[in-house]
Amino acid sequence: MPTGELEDELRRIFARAAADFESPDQARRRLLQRDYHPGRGNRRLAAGIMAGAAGVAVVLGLGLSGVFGSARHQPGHPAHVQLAAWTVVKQADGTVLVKIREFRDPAGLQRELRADGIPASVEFNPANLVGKGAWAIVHFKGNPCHEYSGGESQAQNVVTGGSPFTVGMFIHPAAIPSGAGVQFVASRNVGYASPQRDQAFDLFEWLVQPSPQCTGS
Amino acid sequence: MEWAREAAAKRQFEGFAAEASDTLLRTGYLMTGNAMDAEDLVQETFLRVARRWNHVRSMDHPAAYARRILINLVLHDADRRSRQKAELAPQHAGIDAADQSAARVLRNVDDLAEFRWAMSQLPKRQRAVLVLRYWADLSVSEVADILGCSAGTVTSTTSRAAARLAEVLTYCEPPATRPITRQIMEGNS
Repeated sequence: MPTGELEDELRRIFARAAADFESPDQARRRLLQRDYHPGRGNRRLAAGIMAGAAGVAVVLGLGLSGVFGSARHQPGHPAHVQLAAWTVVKQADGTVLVKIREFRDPAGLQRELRADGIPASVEFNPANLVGKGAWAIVHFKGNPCHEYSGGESQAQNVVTGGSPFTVGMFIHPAAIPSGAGVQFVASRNVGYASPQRDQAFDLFEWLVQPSPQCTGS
Repeated sequence: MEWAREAAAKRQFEGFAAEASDTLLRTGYLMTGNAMDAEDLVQETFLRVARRWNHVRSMDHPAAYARRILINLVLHDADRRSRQKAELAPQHAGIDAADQSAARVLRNVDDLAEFRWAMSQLPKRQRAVLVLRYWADLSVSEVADILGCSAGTVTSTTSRAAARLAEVLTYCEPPATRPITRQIMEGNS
């Protein structure tokens, strides 16, 4: 066991590090806005969090409007909806929350992102991958989008957040450099398989040059 | 009435979640070093607690049960983000001197991001022991109960973890730059 002095220092630094947690109030609010259906059993609850599972989930109460697959959510309506492949929710501050459950309808997701002010391109499971790894995937043969020059340091501010399947990822339109767009490319069957799940996939986002195909203008 | 029972359970769960969320978020943050990962963890924890709420609500300490779930989620999660780091060999002689040195290193930490990064370099069980002992302030036997090991193992792991943490803070540096693209590894069920 460490000495008392070391234990004191450990307690001190953990207290400092825990206090350094940014935005716990927003995180708490998001967490408490979910409906966990206490005592309702396993299958229904798991459906809300597992990617690709059919079932019932709750609308995040974060924003002004939400889109589920191709059906636009009406604010104030009952929270339970049939899960769609993905959910897009524009928040009051302009940030767009995206949750993905299945790799379906990339064109629909791209359309909704653009409607919410994100000059985005979405590609699910592109064919003709050039090998494996991040660059191979985003440089799949026939990709009409090209990397935005000079945007490397800015790219990491455009999309933040955790897993797009649970908490969701946040797209910050204001962080997208003027004259650039963002492309999302997801691909199965690369990387590695998780021992706990059947398949693995990678999802990448990168800044791309504007063009009608990539950014809509 | 079924609906009335469900509504009561929901209210009770929401009260529990409101009370427990802050501590769980901070625990998850210390375990992962990342706010969004912490939120993911707490959400999954709440889902699991909710699943067994009819049982959990009768417990003396539902929050402790939730904390146990969260820790075990980290420990047993498929190690997607990094390889498990090999644990260091037990410390050699001069433990007190080593502890004094480690205490000094910790005292001089200015940048908490560096501390979080150093924590992320520890094996998960070492991380869990430190968080449970020094953030959650649990006793050795309570930590042993959560991790399913002996008190002796907790004690030795604590020493190794503290030494390793100080070593990483002393000799290693976090990467200077982040990758251009973010890669998310997940699996479809």
